[in-house]
Amino acid sequence: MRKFFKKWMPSKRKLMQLYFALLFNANAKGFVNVDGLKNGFIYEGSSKSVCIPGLNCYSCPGAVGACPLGSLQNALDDKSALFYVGGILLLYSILFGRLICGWLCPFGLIQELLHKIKTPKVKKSPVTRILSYLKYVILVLMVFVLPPLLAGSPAFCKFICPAGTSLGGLGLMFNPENHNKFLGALGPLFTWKFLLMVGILVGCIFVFRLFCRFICPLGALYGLFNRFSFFGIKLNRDKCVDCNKCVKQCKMDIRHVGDPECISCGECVSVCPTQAIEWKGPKILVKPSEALTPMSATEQQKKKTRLWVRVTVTVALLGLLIGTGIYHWNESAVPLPSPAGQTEDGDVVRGNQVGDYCYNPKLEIINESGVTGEQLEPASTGKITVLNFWGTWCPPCVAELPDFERIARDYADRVVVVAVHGGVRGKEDAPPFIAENFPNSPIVFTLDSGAARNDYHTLLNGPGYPYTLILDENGVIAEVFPTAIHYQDLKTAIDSLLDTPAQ
Amino acid sequence: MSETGKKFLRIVYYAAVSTALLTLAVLLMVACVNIYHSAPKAAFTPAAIAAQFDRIAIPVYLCLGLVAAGFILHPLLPESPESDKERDRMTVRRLRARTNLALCPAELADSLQKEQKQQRRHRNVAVGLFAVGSAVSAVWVWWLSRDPITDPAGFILRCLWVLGPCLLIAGGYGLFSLYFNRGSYRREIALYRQVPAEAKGSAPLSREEAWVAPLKNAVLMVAIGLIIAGLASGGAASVLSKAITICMECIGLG
Repeated sequence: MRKFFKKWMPSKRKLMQLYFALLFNANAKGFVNVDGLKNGFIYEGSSKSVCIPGLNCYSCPGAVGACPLGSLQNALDDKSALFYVGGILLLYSILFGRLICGWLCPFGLIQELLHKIKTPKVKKSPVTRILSYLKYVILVLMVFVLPPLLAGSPAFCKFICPAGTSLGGLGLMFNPENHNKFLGALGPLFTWKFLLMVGILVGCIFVFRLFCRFICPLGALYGLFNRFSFFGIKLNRDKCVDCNKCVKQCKMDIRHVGDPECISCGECVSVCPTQAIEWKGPKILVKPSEALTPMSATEQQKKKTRLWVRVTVTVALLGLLIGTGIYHWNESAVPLPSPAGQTEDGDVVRGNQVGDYCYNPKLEIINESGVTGEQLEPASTGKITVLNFWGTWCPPCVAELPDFERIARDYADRVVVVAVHGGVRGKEDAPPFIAENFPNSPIVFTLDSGAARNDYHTLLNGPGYPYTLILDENGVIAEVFPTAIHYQDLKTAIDSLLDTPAQ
Repeated sequence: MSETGKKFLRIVYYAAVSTALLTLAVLLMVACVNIYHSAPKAAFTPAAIAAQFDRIAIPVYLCLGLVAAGFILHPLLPESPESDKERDRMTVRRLRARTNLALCPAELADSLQKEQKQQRRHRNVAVGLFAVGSAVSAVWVWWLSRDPITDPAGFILRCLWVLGPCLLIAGGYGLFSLYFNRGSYRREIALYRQVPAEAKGSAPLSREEAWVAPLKNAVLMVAIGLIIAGLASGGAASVLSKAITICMECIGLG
């Protein structure tokens, strides 16, 4: 029995990877539906303004931090965000280098677990060495070059990232409430990403860390600082006899320990015959190379002290993980409406499904000059209302606005088009955008801040943008479009309502 | 059991598990494509997914069962004999930095220099071809663009007609030289292994460490400065607003 446990006991590194995967996805409520609380969606707390070190899509229901790659791509057209995200990435790079890949990245853990499935493995070779340069090409092209050319669309997230598809997209669909909303919205882009995700995950079974070695631009970025990082693994060249055992032991495409391909997993430490491989920085949770000679009394005392330090740090980390989990579980969520899925507002029962009366908070109207001081209740216009949720940072939202403007002009006397800008920077971002692209537009632009925010988060029934509702003259939801739509779809929906007499 | 029998058993085991996994992946991919083609406008409805999955349910469960059985039975598999392949991954550059040729025996140093000279010759020819090709292409493009460009597509094609072969020749020679130098690098590494251990001094290491430490600290200060500047100008709010309101296509749902 003892032998069995010794064989199957996870290593320290595996435990650390699991720990950080749980810590970065501490919003357990994101995956479950608890009675009386609005759960099963992404976390929206302030900790999401901090980028976590590893690859973990911020659309994962459990994620409590932002993805560094997604944030970087989105920040390329915003100087303040670029400084902030760039600074965070530079900090992680210089502190840890690719130690993050080996110890902190949740997606790295998934790949290593898949690689444990017993199949023939593709060993490293000159071909894999050449392929390892592909991630630098992806870093330059998909992260830095393409996003500005695609109007700010994060090209890597949109076309490649399997973490977004698996942790984010599939994670959101883990909640049955999201099935009807999201499944109907899937199209060719999801097909491509799903196939790519399956290909990468299956490939990881045969190739060790296939994504890390050949595709991940975050690993490419961190690898550039591997040699200079404060923490990680290093080679003592005075002791090294160039026997190459470390390179043979390593499953990554390294040329020597500590190069840009090294993920500081430490598996080479025990095979070095001269203990030339060491850890940089304080050795709290990781033992240095075992001494071959017996320890003196002083060394034994030092070892005891190190043990106590390790125990203390381990307890503190466990406390942090448990505390974070409890905090996020207890954090107040937006209460769900009554069991029928509706809230009562006077005599009217409001909801977020077709056939319900739409929520009707007072929205602040904005134009090219800023907040006008006027307000609008979208369900009380007395006309057919097209209620669109958008953001200046969302390329599909921006792309469909001209169609809404055309609808507003074509049906000027019978339809009101209301565009609600989401996010905390609506007041700063929206007016210049409107001034440049939609001056004197018939669209009524509003903010979703203040009292409207909670109602609209319930109304949206999910985190996704763009999102469009069509309300009839009485404010009842007639149609819901959970993704981008075109002029013809809007026209068809509005024409059907105009043919129907008001109730 | 004989060694041949054990080897055969291992081959059958790994073939079975690998085939099961690949079959699973192919089934999922084919189902996904079928779902999309069945109704392109609203493809991924629960009904459409259920209809496709019904057809592949039995093979999927069989494959999953096979993989699970393989995982459970793996400890019973007979062990393979140790195999040790010598692979040389040491960089030549690192060995050159560590070795003091002045302390090598004369014959060894002479052989090392010959190998390095040959590699440099091939590399210089490849670089020279690339430089000449680029210069010719640049002159050609300048010559073409003296007159107003009336046909942009034709202009680009004419440029490519010149640029393409120039780069092809340079690239081709580059590949040839890499292939030819491969053997030379191996010989060089084998020669380095004959260098006495005392010759591998630590002088270059000291010079290297002298600039690494200040560089690390400087980068750390720059990183902290950027974070403070970003926070002061509202960067955190911008990241937050994008992280909590997801653009669906941006995460591939579209």
